[in-house]
Amino acid sequence: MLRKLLEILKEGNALSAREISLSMGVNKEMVALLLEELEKRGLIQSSESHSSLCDKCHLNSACKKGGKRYTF
Amino acid sequence: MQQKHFKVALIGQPNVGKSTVFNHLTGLNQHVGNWPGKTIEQKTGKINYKDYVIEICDLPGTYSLTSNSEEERISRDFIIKEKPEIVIVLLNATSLERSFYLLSEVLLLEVPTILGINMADIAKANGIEINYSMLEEKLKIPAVELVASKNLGLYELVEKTIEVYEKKQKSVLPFSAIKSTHKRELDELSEILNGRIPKPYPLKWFSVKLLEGDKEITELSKKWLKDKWNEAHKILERHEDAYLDIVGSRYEWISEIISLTVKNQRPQEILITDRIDRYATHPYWGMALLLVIAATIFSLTYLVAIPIVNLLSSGISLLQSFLKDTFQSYLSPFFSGLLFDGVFGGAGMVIAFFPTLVFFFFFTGILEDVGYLSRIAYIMDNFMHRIGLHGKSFLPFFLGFGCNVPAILGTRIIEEKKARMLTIVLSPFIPCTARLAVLTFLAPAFFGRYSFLVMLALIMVNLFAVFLIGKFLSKTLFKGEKSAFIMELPLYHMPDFKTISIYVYENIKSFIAKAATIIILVAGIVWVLANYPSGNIEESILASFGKTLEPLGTLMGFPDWRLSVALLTSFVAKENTVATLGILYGVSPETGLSERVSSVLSFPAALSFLIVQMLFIPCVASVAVIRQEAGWRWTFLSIILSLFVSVAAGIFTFQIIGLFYA
Repeated sequence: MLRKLLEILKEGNALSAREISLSMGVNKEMVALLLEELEKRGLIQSSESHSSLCDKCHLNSACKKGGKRYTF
Repeated sequence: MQQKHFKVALIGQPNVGKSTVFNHLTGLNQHVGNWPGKTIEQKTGKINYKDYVIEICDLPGTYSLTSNSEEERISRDFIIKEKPEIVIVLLNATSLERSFYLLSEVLLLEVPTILGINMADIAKANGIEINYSMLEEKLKIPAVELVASKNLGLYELVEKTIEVYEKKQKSVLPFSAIKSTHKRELDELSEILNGRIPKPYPLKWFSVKLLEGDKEITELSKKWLKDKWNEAHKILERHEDAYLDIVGSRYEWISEIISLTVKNQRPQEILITDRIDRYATHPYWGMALLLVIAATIFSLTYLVAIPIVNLLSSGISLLQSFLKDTFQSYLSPFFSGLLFDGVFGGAGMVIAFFPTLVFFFFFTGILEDVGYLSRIAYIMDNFMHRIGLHGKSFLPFFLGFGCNVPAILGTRIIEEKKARMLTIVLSPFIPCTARLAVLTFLAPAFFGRYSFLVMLALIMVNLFAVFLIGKFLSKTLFKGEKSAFIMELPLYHMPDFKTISIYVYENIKSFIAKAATIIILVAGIVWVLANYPSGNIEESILASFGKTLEPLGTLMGFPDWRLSVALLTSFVAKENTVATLGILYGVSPETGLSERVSSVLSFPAALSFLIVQMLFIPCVASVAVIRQEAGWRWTFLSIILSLFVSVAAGIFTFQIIGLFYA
């Protein structure tokens, strides 16, 4: 399961949690858990697409609602 | 009758309600201290129930039993070394997936276990249905529904605990500890470890943890295996990825159990969201929909706002004339000119595009409130991936659509210096909100009812610029590298007009604050420079300077130096372009800024002016951040590159469009 998620991430696409859950046949909470596990084990690194500097930007909510980039 | 004594460990994640359960069960019959040699609190207590005295230990909140933290080590050491007769695993009914990982680790220790599923009331309210009998059947252990905050289910939990104790019911691992791909290595390790690890440690658990890479177990293995360690180490080295299969098998089991025992009623909102997202987040349909929505927003903004802008513009000019006529006799000519022609003529023009911004923010506020704005981020990321833009440089670029300052700071995630510097230099080519706002205001001045088409075209030009930048970066610095972007897209819902009003108010407030400070200041300076020394604008310092730029301006189609100067003042803040045009072209109640500038600029020249404005050097705040992050050398490079690209694009636009327009 972790290997499958790693393969999906290595494709390097933009994905919604829903798309990953559909392609892996698990629910979104499980996807979030698996991502946390991979990050905890140092296989992926995440960066938020939002910072406190963005507070004055009128588009900030687009980034604020849970976008994360994962690199290897 | 003699009382029976036994020991129970209470384990669960942080915030699962463990303390509430513990306090309800033990009441005042508890002792609080520290774990030996640790600063972590240890709570023990007693339950006197029927003929039983149950000693209960509240273990520290933990997510797993791997030796990553002190809490995890304390919990597993207690279970292994203190050997409680029963372990109660407390789970959170609202997020069973998360709680189940800890359960899987407890089950691996093969100790008698009971499940307490807390917050059952909240789970039910959220449409989560748990099939308890199925859960008990699959796990072969009792599961008790709890609402600890209301003292519900705790009596049953104690009854079940006694029942398991009396039956001496051991739990059996209901899943495979490892996938078949690494089963052989696990057996080999078990063989090496057999007879060499001290008694309290279960052999199977110890072998799994060693293969999983648990730090503490690895150290203990080195100590206890002595000369046999090399043999074990070779196996571990050859199969260093085995943990993916060990941990993976736990998650597969969790997923299977959850799908069999938990039913989550999907609200109508989710179904509607799924249906809309089939198109809204589609790589092609999504982009097409985005363009249609952008066109609709611009055309609606112009349709509603432009008549108001014209009215406001005339009103400001009338007020300017009235105040000037009334008060100029009381003021010196210099001060009167500075106040009424400089401040009113400049900053007043910026205030005139207030209605455009109100409607622009109102429509984007609707998109944000219904949940569509996040989809734009998603679609743009998809687009950037398709053109091969690397994720690390995508993030700064994406932030740049809001403001270039966080975009430049966002490049800190790029480790490689050369790549980071280049991303910093290219980030300002993404038009920020302020640039888009200025373009939104200027477009109707030049193009009237076709403005929305021009704005769409500008967005397309910009996407093309991003495309070229992306291709350049992916072919050079980030060749072959990939990264994924995952978004949690919010559910669509009906817009709430109170929220939208607050959104509009917040954005307009920051615009007014800017207009009242920096824009007024620059407008004053521009007026002084445009009137010094003789009061005749054509003989002023600004004109002398502006005229040196005229040859370049002519190539871009600018009929006089004023437009080049207006562009230069946007360096301080993008809105200054409008203020400077207002001062230099001098508006009157009869002729507003739109009429003035549209009368001096041809169609190709106006288009060229907007494109230069879009790609021009970033504002002073962005330049300061570039200097802070990259030093002077890269700052100069950034300014020169922006100047070159914007001027070249302006010349190209004017010369090429001019061929067809003539």
